[in-house]
Amino acid sequence: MPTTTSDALLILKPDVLSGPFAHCSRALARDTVRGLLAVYGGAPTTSYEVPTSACAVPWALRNIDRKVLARSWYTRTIHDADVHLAALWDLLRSPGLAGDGGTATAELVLDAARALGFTDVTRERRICSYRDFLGLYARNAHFTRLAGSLRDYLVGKDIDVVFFEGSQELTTLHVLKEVLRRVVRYPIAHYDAVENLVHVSDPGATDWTFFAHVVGSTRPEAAVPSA
Amino acid sequence: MVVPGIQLHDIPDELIPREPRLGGSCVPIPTSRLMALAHSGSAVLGLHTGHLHAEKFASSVLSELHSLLRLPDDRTCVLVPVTPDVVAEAVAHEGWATHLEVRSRGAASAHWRAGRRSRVEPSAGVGPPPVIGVVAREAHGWLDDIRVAEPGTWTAVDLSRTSCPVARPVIGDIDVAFFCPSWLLGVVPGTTVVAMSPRAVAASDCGPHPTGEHSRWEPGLRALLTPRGLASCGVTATDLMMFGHAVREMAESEPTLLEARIDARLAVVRSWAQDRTWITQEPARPGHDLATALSTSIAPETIRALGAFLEANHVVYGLTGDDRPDAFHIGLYDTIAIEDLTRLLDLLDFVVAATVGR
Repeated sequence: MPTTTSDALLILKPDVLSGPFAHCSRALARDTVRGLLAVYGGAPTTSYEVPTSACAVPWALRNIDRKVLARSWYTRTIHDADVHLAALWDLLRSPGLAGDGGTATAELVLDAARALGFTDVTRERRICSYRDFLGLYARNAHFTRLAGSLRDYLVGKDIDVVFFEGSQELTTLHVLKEVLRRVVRYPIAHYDAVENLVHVSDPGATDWTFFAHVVGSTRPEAAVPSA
Repeated sequence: MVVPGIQLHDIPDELIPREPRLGGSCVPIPTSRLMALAHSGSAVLGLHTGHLHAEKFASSVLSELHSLLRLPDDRTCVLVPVTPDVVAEAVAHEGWATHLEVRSRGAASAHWRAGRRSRVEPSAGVGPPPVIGVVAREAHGWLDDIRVAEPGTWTAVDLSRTSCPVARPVIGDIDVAFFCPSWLLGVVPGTTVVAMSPRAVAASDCGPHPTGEHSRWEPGLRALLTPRGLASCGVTATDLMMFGHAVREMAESEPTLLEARIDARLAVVRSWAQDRTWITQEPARPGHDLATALSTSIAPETIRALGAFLEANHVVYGLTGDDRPDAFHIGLYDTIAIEDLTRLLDLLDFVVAATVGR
């Protein structure tokens, strides 16, 4: 069943922090927001500034619809649509996304999440340890296929771990991820689960539980007990 | 799998081995072996298995293997696409092996023993020769046992997961020596190297079927050895390519020093085990095993739960096994970094303290 409230986990991955996708053009950022508006019925689906977005957004929509059909918890529902669609329009017209030039992709992600109704309550930038890598992916369906690539991509690199609070469908963050990675990262190519900019997890999932224990904790690591 | 008192986030990062395939049943295939698959480019991979160049490649690999194992010229040596237990079963079905006596003790030995054909007692005259079967990793001093056997005795030895094939020139003295090359050479499991003496090849040509019929197409060794080329031997070009690289690398890496490199890892485990009261026996390498079993005083169900927990979180694979439920099984393979072995031992300290408080 879809969940309506909770503390969601979102992790900004290395590419979006310091890699080649740390910044994107403002035009792409605006198209990303337009894509979100398209998902939730707040904008026409054909008016984009970057040529690739005209294909990328419908591609994202097809993927989202496929997931809605395949997964019981995945939904295109958004609560308080008037409020949050208005917030997305405000973001689209905000000074930070106006005109030419670039913008920080991480800030675009967080601003979009806030527009959807989430508040970031805990945020920690940390170097991804080997344990973090396992905590993030050990129970993930992609692990056995991509473990080596995921390890090489993540371990020793910066990640930004954000816990959100909000009274919104958790799926909206998954939808944000889907639109962002398609419009900004993979507008014309198929993607795999490695360099896809952000990771989203819902409360109770093993990766959510892991980071809930290790992020923001002031307790020292347990010492190695002597046998 | 949940183990009371411990979760992944409890384990300090520095205790988690970077290579999880440290258990005795795992093969830490080096990344270079996987990368090597690309080296052939368009030369072999993708060709149909009966292709001229694929056949030539298979022949060259087997030739190098023959040399690596220091086999006499009259020995037949092949790579077959079955696991060692299938080869053991084929031996047990040979007409010359009606008096097979499997002398080692362990899970693989028991399986081999159970697969023996019914013993046919000779009616008169000279009876069938005695046949000694051994799973080397499940036997101490098996080589001495074979050396003192009565003249004419046949021998069949499973050398899987031992250093013997390259560290000791023993294969040439055995009638049927076979081993899964994965542990020794760091390749994917699923194939078996089989080396046979001339008399074993000859005797396996057409043995009597257990039902009394006589046929060249029995499910014995001949079915595995018939040189019908790569196409029918069934080893994939991918496996053969990986195997070929492994043979070459072993040949070029001072195989005579292999034993010392494995013993260095055993020494690390032994030194660590000295002060652990929950370890009940000094770690050893029976039959030149490439893994060691840490016998413990911990309840088997706890050992099993810990192994399952570590596997489920991709921390360590293959650390436990049903054949020795009281033990942790640790790989000592050359491809394991000593640093990771040390991490594993510290990790065992941690999880044992966390779960049983020792």
